[in-house]
Amino acid sequence: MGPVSAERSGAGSSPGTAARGDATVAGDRPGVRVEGLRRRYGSTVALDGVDLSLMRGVTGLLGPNGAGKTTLLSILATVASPDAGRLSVLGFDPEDSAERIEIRRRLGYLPQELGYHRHFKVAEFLDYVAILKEIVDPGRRRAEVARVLAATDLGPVAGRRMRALSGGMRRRVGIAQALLGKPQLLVLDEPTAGLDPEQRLRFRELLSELPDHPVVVLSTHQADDVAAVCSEVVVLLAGRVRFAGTPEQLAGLAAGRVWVAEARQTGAEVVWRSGDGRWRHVGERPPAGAELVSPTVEDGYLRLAGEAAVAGSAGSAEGSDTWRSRRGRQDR
Amino acid sequence: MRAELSAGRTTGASVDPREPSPSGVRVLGSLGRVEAFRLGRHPIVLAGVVGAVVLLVAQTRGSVARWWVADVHLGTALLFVGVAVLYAGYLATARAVRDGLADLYESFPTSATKRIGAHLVALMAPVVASAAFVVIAVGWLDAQGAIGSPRVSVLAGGLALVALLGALGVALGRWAPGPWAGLFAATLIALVEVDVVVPSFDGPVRLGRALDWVLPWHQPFVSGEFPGPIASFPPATAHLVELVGLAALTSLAALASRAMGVRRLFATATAACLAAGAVGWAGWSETRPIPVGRLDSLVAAAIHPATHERCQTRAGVSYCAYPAYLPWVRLWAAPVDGVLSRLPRRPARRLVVRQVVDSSFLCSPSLGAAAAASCTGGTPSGPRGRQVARLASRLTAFQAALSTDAALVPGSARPPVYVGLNWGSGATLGPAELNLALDVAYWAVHLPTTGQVVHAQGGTQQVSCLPVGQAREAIAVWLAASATPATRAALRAEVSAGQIGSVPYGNGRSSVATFAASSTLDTVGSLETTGRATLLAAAMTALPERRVEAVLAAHWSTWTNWRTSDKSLATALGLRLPPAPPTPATVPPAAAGSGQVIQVSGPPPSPVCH
Repeated sequence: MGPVSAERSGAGSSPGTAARGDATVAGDRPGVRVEGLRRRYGSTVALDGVDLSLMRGVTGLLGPNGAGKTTLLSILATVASPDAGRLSVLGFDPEDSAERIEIRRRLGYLPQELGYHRHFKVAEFLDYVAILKEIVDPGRRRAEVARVLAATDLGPVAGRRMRALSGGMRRRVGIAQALLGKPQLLVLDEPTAGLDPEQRLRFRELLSELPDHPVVVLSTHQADDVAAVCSEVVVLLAGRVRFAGTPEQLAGLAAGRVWVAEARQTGAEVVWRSGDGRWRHVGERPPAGAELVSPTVEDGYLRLAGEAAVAGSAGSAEGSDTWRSRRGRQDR
Repeated sequence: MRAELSAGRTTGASVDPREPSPSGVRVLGSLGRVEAFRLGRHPIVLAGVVGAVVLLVAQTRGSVARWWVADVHLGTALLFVGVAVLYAGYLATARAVRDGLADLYESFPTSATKRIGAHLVALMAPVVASAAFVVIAVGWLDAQGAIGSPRVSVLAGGLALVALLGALGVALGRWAPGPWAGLFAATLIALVEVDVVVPSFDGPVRLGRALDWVLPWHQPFVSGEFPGPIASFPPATAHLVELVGLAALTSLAALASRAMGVRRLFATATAACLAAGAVGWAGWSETRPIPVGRLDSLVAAAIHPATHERCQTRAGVSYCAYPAYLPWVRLWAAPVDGVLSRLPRRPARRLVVRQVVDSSFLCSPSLGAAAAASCTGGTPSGPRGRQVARLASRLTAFQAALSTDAALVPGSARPPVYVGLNWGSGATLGPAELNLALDVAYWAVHLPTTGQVVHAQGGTQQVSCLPVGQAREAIAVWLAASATPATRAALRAEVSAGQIGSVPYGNGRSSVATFAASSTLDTVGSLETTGRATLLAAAMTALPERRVEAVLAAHWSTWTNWRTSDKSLATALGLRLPPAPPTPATVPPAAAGSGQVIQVSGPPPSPVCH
C-alpha cells in the first residue's frame, strides 16, 4: 500500500484524513474498511495492496480504464474475492459465508456491465429483484417497487418490456434495482454511463436524497459528477490508491498550476483543448501569455494521472517517491 | 486487526435497524410463485400443451378408447409437455448467465441454490397444468365411450415425466447455461422418444428391452391387443418409481453446490443413494419378462373365447365379448340391427356375434425376446423360449380355424360373426360398422362370414370362396350399406376410393376385382367384396329403400340362392348391371391360353361359393 493509502486507512495520522472524517461522519466508524487488498487476473495485477476506509456519504472512485475500479467494486459487492488482504463491509467479514449474506442483505449493487432480461417488463424485473433481496411481503414489495420507479422516473415505462427500452433507460432500471430495499451500502459502477444530461442531474439529486445516509461508492469517468455529488473521492491508478480526500482537495492538487492559453504550449504535464477552443495546461511552469485559472476536480485528477504516467515510466519505486514528495508539498 | 475490522458490526454504520430477514422457505415460495407463473405461461410450454392435445387426439381418434391403452397414450402425449418444459426450464434457469446478470444475481442475499430451488418449485406449474390436461382428457375420452378405467399409476407417471424433464432442464441450466445445451437435450430426447414410441418411425434408435426402460417414456404398443387390462403389465408402478427417482436424482444434481457443508453433503449423498436404489429396483422390475404363466392364461383366453367371454342377448342376437368389452355391445348392435331389420324373413337360427383376439400380441418385444422370436419364425432358445413357442403355435392354429371351426361356438352349425378388439369412432366409425354389417349380411344370405381369409401354410392366404356373379352378394352389400347412415357413407367412400384388389378363383385362369374395406381396424372380420356386386349395391342404394325391400321380399329364397345371378337382380330392380371393374393385374393372353394355372396375386385360387 502506498503512503497515501496508509493515510486513508483510518489511523488518523494525516491531516487530510482527519479533516475528511471529521467533516463527513464525525464520530462514526467506517462502513467499509479495506486493508492490503490484492487481486490478480493471470499476470495482470488489478489491485495491488489497496487500503481504504469508506464512511457514510457518497465516495467517488476515479481512475482510468484498467485502474482496478470495477475489480474493487465487485469485491466490495461480495461478487469477487480478493487474493489477499482484509475487508470489512458494514462490520461483516465477506469471507464468512453467513456474514457475506448479511452484507448482501444491506447491499445495492449496479455492475458496470449490466444485461437485461428481454422478456421482463420493468416492474416485473424490479419485483423479481425485490424478492431476490428478500422482500417477500407482496404489499411491501409493491410499495418498494413503486418508490424506486418514482425515484428513477421510470413510472411511465413500468409496463414496458426491457427489450423495448433505450440504453439510458435500462441504466436507470439498473439504478432502480440497486435502490430496492433501502440498502446501507450502494456500490455503483459507472451509474451515469449512458444517461442524458437531464438524467445525470436527476441522478445527482437522487443520491443527495437517499434516506438513512448509506455508504455510497460509485465509479465514474465524469469528474463533474464527482464534484457535484461526492463528499469523498478516491483516485485509483494501476491498482493502487493514489489519492483519497475531498473533491476540493483533489482539485487543490492542481492549484496554481492550471493555465489557459490561446495556443498549445510544450512543457506542461497535461494539455487539452476545452470547449471554447482555448488550450488548458496543467504544469509547473506557465506557458507564455497564459492565464492562471482556478482548478477543477478534473484538473486535479488529470495532474495526478499525468504524474503517475511519468512515474510509471520512471519505475514504480521512484514513481511512488515522486508522488509522495509532490503530495507532501501540496499538503503543506 | 481482525477485532478492529469487526468492531463496526455493533457500532456506527453497520447498526442495522432493518426488519428481520424472512425465512428461506418464504423466499423460496415467493420466488417459486413468480417462476411458476412465468413458466406456466411460457410460449414453449403452451406450445407443448397444444402438441400434447394434438398427439392425444391423433393417437385416440379412429377407435373407441380402451383405458388400458389410452392411459399410456396420455403419458405419451405429455412427452410433448415434458420436452417443452425441459427447454423452458433450461432457459429460465440459465437466464441470469445468458442475459449478463450473473454478477448482479451473485450480489443478492438469495443464494444460487435457493434460486435453483425456486425453478424446481416452479415446475409445479406445468405439472399442475398437465394434471388439468389429464383430467380433461379423461373426461373427454370417457364421454367418447372409453371402456375400462385409467390406471392411476400410469397417469401419475405422465406427470412425473413432466417433472423429470423439467428438472433435467433446470439442471442443465445450472451446470451448462450455454446457448445450446438445453436445445440439444430437448431435441435429442424428442427424437429418441419419437423413434422408440412411434412404431412406424424407423429411426436409428434400437435400444432393446434391456435398455429402453431408461428412456423417460416407453409405450407398450401391444397392450391394445390383449383381451382386457392385464394386472401389472406394463409395470406402471415400477415406471412411476423410476421417473420419480430420476427426477429426484436430477433435482439433487441441480441443487448441488461446490461449497456444500458436510451435513448438506451427507444429506445429498444419502438422498441420491436412495433415489438411485429406487431407480435400480424399478429398472429391474421393468425388465422382468412377463411370466409364462401369465402368457399361458392370455393365450387360453384368446383360443377359448367361449369360456372366457360373457354373452348378452339383444333383439334376438347373442353378443359374446370379453368382460372389459361388454360396453361395446350397444355399439355393435347398431349395424347388426340395421341389417337384420331389413331382412324380409329373420333366419330361424340365432345370430352370434363373438369377439376374438388378433393373433399378433405374442409378437411384441414388450412380451420378451422369446415371444418375438417365436413370432418371426426364429428359433426360441431356452425353456421359456420353447414354452412361448408352444403358446404361439396354439394361437396360430386357433386363428387358422376361425373360419371353419364351428366348435368354437357350441351349438352353431356355422361359424358366427366375429368382431375384433377395436371399434371405430369418428371417421372410422363407418368402415367399422360396414365391416360388421357386411359380416351379418353375409351370414343372412348364407355366405361365409368372418374368417373369409383362410391362413394357409407358409404365410400365404386364401379367400375361402368367392360369390362371383351372385345376386346374394350384391344384396348383402346393399343390406350392409343400408344398415346405418355411417355404413352408407362408408360404402360410397370405398367405391370412390377404388381400393381394388384381385383374387384368382375357379381353376386359376380367372381373377376377380375386389373391394377391400378402406380402413379396417382389425384383420378380424375383414371382408373383400367382388367389384361388380359392390358397384351394383352402390347403385341399389340410389333407389328408394322400400322398392328394393319389396323386390327382395317377393322372392327372398330365390335371391339368396347361389345360382341367382346379379344380372337377374339388376333386371328386377330396373338397373343396368355395372361392368366389372378391371383387375389391377391382368393375365397375359399367351399364358392364359397355354393351359397353365396363373396366380395373379400370389395365393392359390379360391372356389366359387355355393
